[in-house]
Amino acid sequence: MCFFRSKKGQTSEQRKEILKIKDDLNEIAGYLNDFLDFLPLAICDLSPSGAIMNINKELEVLSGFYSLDIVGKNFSEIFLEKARIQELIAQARKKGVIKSQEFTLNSKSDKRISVNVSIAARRDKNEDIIGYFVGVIDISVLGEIRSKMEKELFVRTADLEQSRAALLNMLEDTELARARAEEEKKKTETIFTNFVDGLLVFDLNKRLELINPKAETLLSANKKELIGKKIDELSFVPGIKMLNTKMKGELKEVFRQELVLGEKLYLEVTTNFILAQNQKMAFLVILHDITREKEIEQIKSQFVSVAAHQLRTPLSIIKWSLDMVLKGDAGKITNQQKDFLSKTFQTNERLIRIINDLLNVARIEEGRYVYQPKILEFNELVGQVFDSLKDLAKIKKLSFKLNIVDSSKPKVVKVDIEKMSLAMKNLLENAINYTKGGGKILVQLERKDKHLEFSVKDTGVGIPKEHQARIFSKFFRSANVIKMETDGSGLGLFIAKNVVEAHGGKIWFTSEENKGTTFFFTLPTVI
Amino acid sequence: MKERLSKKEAQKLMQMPGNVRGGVILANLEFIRQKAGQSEMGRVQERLKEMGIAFNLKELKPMEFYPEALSVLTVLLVKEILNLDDNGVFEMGKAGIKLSLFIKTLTKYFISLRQCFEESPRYWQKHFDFGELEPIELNEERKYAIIRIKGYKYHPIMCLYHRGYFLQIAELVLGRSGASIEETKCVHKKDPYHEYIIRWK
Repeated sequence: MCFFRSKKGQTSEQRKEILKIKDDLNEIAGYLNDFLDFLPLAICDLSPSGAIMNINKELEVLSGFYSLDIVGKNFSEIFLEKARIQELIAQARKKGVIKSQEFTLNSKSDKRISVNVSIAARRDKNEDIIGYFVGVIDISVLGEIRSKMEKELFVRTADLEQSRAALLNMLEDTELARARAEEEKKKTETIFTNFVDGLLVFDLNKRLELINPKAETLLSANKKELIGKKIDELSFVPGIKMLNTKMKGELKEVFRQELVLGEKLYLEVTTNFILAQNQKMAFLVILHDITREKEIEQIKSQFVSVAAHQLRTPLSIIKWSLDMVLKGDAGKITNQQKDFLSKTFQTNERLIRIINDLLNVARIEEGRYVYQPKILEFNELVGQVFDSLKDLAKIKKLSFKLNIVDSSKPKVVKVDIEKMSLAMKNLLENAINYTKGGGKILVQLERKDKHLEFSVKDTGVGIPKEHQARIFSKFFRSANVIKMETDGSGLGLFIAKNVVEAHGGKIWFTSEENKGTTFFFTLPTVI
Repeated sequence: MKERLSKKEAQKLMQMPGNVRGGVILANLEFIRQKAGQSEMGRVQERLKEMGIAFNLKELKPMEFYPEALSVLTVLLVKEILNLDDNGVFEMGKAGIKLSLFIKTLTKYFISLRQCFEESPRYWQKHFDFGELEPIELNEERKYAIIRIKGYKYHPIMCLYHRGYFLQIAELVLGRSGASIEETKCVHKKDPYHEYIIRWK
């Protein structure tokens, strides 16, 4: 059916031309519809006032609205940000094209979709606005990703905030700890600086790290010249050189060793490793000035020495006089008188021994205990001392034996005969005095490698454990022997120790109370 | 009760002169497609056939002229098939603008109310080869416009349809909904023309 009706006045050619143009227009319209249906981009066009004129299929799918629903409505009505859409249109009117602005499309099903909106103004030949083309791109996936990232960021930020707060707390704690440590450090520094003893701290590489003013004074050294130097490099300081010699070049623990600096300065040095959690951290040297004690001791020794000397002469005269009277040189005396005088004589003898011991001690302490060493076969000296005490042992009914182990082996030593005899005599007398009748004493001499070992073993009262540490001290006598009321000055073992050590030997003992004691000493052999 | 268009009534309409662009008829068909789907649109074709009108709707071209009677018949048939009330017809009139591709090409007339008002006779002429649209008064201050349609008397349903149609144009120009339209004179009420007054806020 053809409904076309020609207008009056149109020629056949004109009608044909018009029909052709209509066909072209229809084809263009069909093409445009197909194109818009196909286009995977959501687009629409707006009237100059912003009303939606047309939407394509993609925008229908995206928004859920059919043309029927939204054509004629203002474009802003399908967005949450209505005012911003109006601004966008106004900007497009001014600038022509605005691209990729982010908005939230509110779909028919009330779903919020993040979109990018681009808009271009359309103008006629007079530059008047005749509408707008709009492109809408779904960026909800990007939006979701961003939203997730924002959430993630929020969580991370929260974590970071927590971490920050924790760090701040830690910093606060650290600051408090630092302040405390600083205070402790100051205290330690104050103590270190003002400590009455001289203190030196070396690192484990033997470098001097710290020295307090007292140590500077004692060593007559300047801190600036010492700090950072190794102990070997500090030999220009006599005190440190002597210490290093005592430690044999190593960082070695020593306890209360004496250093004599010049004539008037005596130092007692103790070294120790500073430990932290059982790890060696540094090496501490403590210099304790004992000059004053030494002076007092010297004065005491001098007093004792002078007193002893002064006493020895009258005691010798008394001894001589008593001896004469007892022998009848001054006439006959009764038995009773003889008995009294004998006791007096023995007491006088005891006093003389004490005086001699005191003099020996005084000499030892004054450093005047001069040794006159001689090379000899030690067997002989031991035999002499042993023999001199046989009678005493016999009186006490003791088994008193000497055992020279492997007598064919040379036992040659370099000793001061008088002093070494005294030392051995002291040990043997102790054994005899503190062993009850019927007991046993074994004196033994044995060569061991490059030294001799001398021992005196008894079955005597023994030394109580609590007294063993002090047994070589001056005037010390164990409680159990005091009860026995035996003679004794408490100086014998002190003298013996000093004699042995002066000969380069060592002295020690093993003892069990009520079972017996064995004293040992060693001496280096010459051959 | 559902009104059913009679063959006689249809044939009578088809005798009336006057043509309209195919785009207007296509918009009516798109309306039923969007409202009820493709199958319901097919029923329009069936009903035309029942009434002895052998026209293949698939051959409609937007730029071509076809009898206005065919356009009126599609309006009546869509109303019948979808059982539309007055408001539905009014909405179909609005859809005539919304769903017409051709109308999109005429946005240059929608720059301003004044221009649209003044260009409206030409707009009519581009769509119809009969009758005329006469702009009577535009009062932008008091926000109303009066237009008249002369030489158009097909079926009273078109008064409703045109109310929607012209109102939609006004809203497109205004860029917002919320305007109203009233038919103050009607040829079916023995007035010499149709007169519409459009008001907006």
